[in-house]
Amino acid sequence: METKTFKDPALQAELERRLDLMTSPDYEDPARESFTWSDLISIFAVVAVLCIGFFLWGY
Amino acid sequence: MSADTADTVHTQVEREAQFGVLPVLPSERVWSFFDFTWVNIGLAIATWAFLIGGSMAYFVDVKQGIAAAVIGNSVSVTLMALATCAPSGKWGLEQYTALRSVLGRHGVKVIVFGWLLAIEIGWAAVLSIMFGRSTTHVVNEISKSDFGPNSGIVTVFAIVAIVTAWLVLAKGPVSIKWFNKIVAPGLFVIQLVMVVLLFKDHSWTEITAIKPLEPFDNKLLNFMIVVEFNLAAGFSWWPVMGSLARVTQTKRAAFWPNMIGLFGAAVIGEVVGLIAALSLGDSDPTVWMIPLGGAALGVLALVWIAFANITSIVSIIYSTCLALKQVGGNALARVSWTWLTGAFFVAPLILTLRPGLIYDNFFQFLNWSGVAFAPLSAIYIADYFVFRRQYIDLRAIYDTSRGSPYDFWRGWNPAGLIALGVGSLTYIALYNPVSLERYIPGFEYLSASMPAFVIAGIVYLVLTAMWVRRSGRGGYDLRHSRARSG
Repeated sequence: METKTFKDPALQAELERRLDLMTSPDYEDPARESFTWSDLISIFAVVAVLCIGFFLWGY
Repeated sequence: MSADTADTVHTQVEREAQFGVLPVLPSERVWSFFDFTWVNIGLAIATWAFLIGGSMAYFVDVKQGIAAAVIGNSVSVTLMALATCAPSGKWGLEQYTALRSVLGRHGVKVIVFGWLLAIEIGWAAVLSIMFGRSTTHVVNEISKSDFGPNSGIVTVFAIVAIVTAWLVLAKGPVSIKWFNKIVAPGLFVIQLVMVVLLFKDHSWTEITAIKPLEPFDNKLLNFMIVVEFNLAAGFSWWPVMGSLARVTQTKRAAFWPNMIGLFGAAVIGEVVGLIAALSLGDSDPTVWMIPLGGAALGVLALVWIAFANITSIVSIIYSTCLALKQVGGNALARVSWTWLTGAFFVAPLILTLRPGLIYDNFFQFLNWSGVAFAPLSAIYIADYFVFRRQYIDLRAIYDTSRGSPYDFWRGWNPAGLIALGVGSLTYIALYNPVSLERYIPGFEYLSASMPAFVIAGIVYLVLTAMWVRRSGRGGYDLRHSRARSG
């Protein structure tokens, strides 16, 4: 399936080339990992500790 | 600039604008965790940290200010980074391309040509006026003159900053590398020197005993005003961070450097500014340097701050005009880069004619970031994490034809725009960023950005679940259909 995005043929061809690569079953990119529940809990735990701690100290 | 040179620049920028829209391949992900951390620190250590810290001094003392800065920035930087850096980092997408999955391709234009443009015009004006005032202080010191903060010479120098920035921009693509390698380290040194000088003659106990400059009578209100100010500061990074994160190498590299730089380094800079403002009795960073460091050191610091402001203007306006070109399609493709950047500076130039109008009301100006970017963050997080389970279909996101998965209703997702509107109105009802009036109670306990965030998120969740998904629009089943088709 071709994706019509650019009027420039060279740019469109490059886009198609990249999309073919990136949608292939054996495409690997370490950045494609999703945030897990433990990631999100860790993030919000850090923020919660910072907020509560500094509020108690500074206010 | 000759016609040939102008054409070359136009071609270079067009190329960068167009290729900047393409999804990045693994080999093009050039920023590790350390690299992106250094980028974030460089962005955070800029003169706006002084401005923010200085403005905080109106309402809070040092300990309250540190607490408010930590609370406001940690929350807003986290939400902003999850909203923008997570999707752009994972899928290698330029931010406003990825945003089509939330607002539709025309809805994105409303954000870029409306809110983004207005906010960045404001920033260009603030930073150019800061250049004007810094330079005026240098002139006053050297020539023993007494030009005031709103005198005509400030405007002249501010216009010099704008013209200089335009001349740099007109040369074409700008790399932030030189900004990070030269400007940020210099500002870091200034901060270090300021800390040494501020604590040279005063103990921590004495510093923390200094009262704020012009607080309200209500302690909680003062505190929440500063928390809100810092929430806005963190959310104000919304327009740029996603597109930077697209070239990070892992999900951790996409997210955590924001906390180290935009949160950690920014808070440090703000606190230095807060202490300086309280110690010297003035919120304007350009006023501090000579009383603090003496003539020679103070002039040197002011010159560096002036230089840093020009680099900040160039950096901000480059990314803004690039976004305008990328989103503007064929209409802006025909506009030369020189004319586009020149047209951008008209509004900031007008604002410099009355320097005090925006510069002396900086914290009201920054609060406007919370009005739009807090609800936008909520909408993006709700869409990406809840409905799409962190999946964006790459072919569909580049398919701009009618009826394509992310087309919604001819390029508009009304659920997103309605939620944005409701969230923004919630903010203004709780806390008018211009008049500081509070039309409904609750600001002192809740802030304004966080209720705006929550309500925008809820409205978006309900409208999408009950209306958009049921209509079959928005490509919410793409993940499952792609999985089934293998």
